[in-house]
Amino acid sequence: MVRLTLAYFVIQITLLSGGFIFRQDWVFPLLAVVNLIAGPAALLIFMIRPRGPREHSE
Amino acid sequence: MEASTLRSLWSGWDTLILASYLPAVLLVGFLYRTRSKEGLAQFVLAGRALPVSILLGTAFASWYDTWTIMGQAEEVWSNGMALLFIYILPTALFRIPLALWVGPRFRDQIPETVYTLPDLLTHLYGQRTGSLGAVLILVQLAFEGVHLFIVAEALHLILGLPILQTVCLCAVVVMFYTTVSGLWAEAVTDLFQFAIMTASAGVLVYFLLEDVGGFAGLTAMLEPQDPRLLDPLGRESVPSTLSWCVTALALYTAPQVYQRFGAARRGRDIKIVYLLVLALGVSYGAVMVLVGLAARALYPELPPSEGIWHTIFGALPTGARGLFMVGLAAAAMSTLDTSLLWGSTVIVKNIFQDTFGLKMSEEGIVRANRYMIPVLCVFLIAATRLYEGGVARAWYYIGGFTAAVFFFPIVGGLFLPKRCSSAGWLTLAAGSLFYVLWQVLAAEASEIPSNFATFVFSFLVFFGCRMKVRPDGS
Repeated sequence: MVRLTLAYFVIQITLLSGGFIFRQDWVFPLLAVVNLIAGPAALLIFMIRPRGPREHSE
Repeated sequence: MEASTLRSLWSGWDTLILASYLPAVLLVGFLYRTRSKEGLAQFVLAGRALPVSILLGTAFASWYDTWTIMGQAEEVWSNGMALLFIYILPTALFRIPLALWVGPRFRDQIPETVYTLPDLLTHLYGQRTGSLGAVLILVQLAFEGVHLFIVAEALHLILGLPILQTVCLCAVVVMFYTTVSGLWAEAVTDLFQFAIMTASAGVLVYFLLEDVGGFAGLTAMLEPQDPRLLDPLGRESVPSTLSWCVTALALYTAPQVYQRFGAARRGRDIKIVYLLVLALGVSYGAVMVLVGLAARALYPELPPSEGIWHTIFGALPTGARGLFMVGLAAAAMSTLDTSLLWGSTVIVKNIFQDTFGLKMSEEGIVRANRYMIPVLCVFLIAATRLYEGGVARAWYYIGGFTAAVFFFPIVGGLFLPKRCSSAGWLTLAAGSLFYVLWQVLAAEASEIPSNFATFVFSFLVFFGCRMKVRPDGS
């Protein structure tokens, strides 16, 4: 999981740097959708998802 | 677009969205109040039990603040997109070791009696270094006034609200929920504030790109003004570029970061959470670079902060403007509550108790923290005066100072074998003195910024002291 996150981070900064240096418009929507809208939305859904019944301790 | 036009763009829906935010934050503080009554670890470190999701929200919201939004955009407005390459990307790269090694080591291998950054310095080098560190790190509180100022200035420009009264209102809201519930309320509000901040930035990208016509439009508008605005290295000198890179190390020395590390359940959570925060933060910073460039392209005749607000409000539709303002308020509050909490803990625990020997029970420390938070609020309100001339370089100076002075004692102490108590104390004392002298006497003449000069000086002092350590550690 840590390696996967690290790989994601490296890909992202490569895309971002390339997008700015070569002035590519697609870099912004890509990052906005993936990182700024979908990522946090997934996190909130994960937070409020219905959970299974709790085991009751005696 | 005149200021009156800016106000006319603000609708009832935007007001409704902004007005619903403050009660929601206060409600969270009220709901979590019982958890803070269970002792210092609950109040300051949320019982060292923050789950991954809340840790992610609070890590992001406390790392990326109003300066990330307005300060970076203003800097880009003045010096172009070079900020991305000399500060935003280096910051992300330099923070990888913080996420992968420093944080997990702090959480898993440092005793649980270490609550604050001065506690860590005491653990590594002894009480003398901890006490000096506690006093010096309070300098960072002066930076926190910038968040209150940015929100108040925005509300002044958009709604015509008086700056001082708005500053006081924001400070009172943050003071309430931090005083009542400590880190639990902070962390939970941060999670939602994080979602609001990122979503509002994401929405802004679409409308802004449409407004300026993408990079082609930006190039057409900016190149006649100054071609270096779109140059990856811009017009910064080499020492100034290196100085921005030193500032990028500032989070290694930020008390709130160690507070979050201490509040995590385990070191492995820190690795995943902080790598994700870095990835999100780079995107967030890039959006603010786009905002700064667009503002310079569309409103070159206005002062930077006004140009930026005209750009944002001109691009966003009704409702989204309110959401963006909530995002800005969220960024301010999530950082301010953190600062109030670590600042009060440092003053009460590290200065009153550890340095001056004032004996207090755990409950006494929590109670004293609650009294200290309003006092710090007054200090932050006063500190807003520092930023009336602009906020672009606020972090460059204050973050740069803490990075230059604290980086080697903290990171060296955590990872190098054979601790040398004088290395910590001397680096802090000599480094801070050197910074002041360099700033007053040599910075302008030499054109070498104080951050960078002090960073090199601290390196020499720290490792010079270590070379004098005898094999028995004395």
